[in-house]
Amino acid sequence: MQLSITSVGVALGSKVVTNEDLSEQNPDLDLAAITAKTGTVRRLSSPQESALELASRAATQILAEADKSSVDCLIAVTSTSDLRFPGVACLLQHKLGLRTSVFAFDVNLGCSGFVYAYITLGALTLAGVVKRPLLVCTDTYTRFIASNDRAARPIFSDAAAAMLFSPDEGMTIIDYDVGTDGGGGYDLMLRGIPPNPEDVANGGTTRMDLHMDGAKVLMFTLSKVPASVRKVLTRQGLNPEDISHFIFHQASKIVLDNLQRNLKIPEDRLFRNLEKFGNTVSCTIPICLKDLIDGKQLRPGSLLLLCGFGVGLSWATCLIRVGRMP
Amino acid sequence: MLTKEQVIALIKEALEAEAITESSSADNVPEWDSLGHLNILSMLDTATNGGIADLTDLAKANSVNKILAILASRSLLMR
Repeated sequence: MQLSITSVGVALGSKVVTNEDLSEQNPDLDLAAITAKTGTVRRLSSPQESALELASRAATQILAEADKSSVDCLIAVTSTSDLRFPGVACLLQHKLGLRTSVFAFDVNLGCSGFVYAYITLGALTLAGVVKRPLLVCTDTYTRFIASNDRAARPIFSDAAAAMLFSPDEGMTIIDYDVGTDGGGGYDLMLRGIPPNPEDVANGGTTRMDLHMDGAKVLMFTLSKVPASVRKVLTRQGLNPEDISHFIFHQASKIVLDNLQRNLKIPEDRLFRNLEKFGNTVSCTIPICLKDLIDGKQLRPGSLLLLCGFGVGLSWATCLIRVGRMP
Repeated sequence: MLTKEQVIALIKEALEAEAITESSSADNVPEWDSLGHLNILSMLDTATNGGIADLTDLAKANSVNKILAILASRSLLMR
């Protein structure tokens, strides 16, 4: 399946929350210990920008220099949709001025969502259903996290990432592995009543809250992710040293460190930007890809292994060969 | 495989606690909170070379005895 990235746009939460800010809000938090394990020194929140608005900001960046009338597919990956329905993709179609014949729908997944959506788009383009897809990931978790939530508050950030693709040899999906274990679904959930858009715009309070059983989610990660990555590598007769860049969902430092040790990934092959952005949920992998593209670190022939995991609980691994620089 | 003493030392290091014994638990060790427990799981995963991956019961094992019992049940603890 061939699906190349032609452009990437990112919109970050406008409010920077530093460790010092967290410390002021929670004087009893041992920020040094938390930072040592989470790896996050700043988070980005968007108290008055909804998932839709962040998505629009990210997509507008790349559509400014593209023929938006050619966009025939729009997937929005989000687990923090502004409304139960309609989904972000439908509202975004109108906001961006895309044609009404666009194939538009939401993917209600979190940290595995980008890889799931990318594989789905690969299949849709291979089948000839779409030719010029736009994928937007957008999540605004911070407004749903209690200020005294020691596990979640230090790590999550708000962001959106938009990617325009074309079905050419610039990037080829060589192999993939996906999975779902709904038995652990309630270990990572957002529960309650969604806020009204006008409440969000006014920075009002929410009646939703994020629940994460950190230990269970960590055990899920340690159980499923290495096995999924090994399955793909083994099928392709590859070793970790053959991969140019491992791009994992930037969950937290403790997770990335354990995955690196478990899979014996060379230090320079595991891409990290957690310190800069925090855990932006569905956006972590596309933001990593943008960093690699902007840093001109992708070479023709590079092998990239993407792996997202989390909400669902679900996971998705994807092996990509770079044909040309985006 | 780990010895009981190695597991206790690992928990002590993970929690950065002054003293850990077989009777230690989240109820009597202040450092044994949710983040501390994540540290324990992370270090056990490293020490067993990924051997705890399927031991989902460890997520709720908030005492030394419970951890030892689970490791023993999967032959990860030397007798």
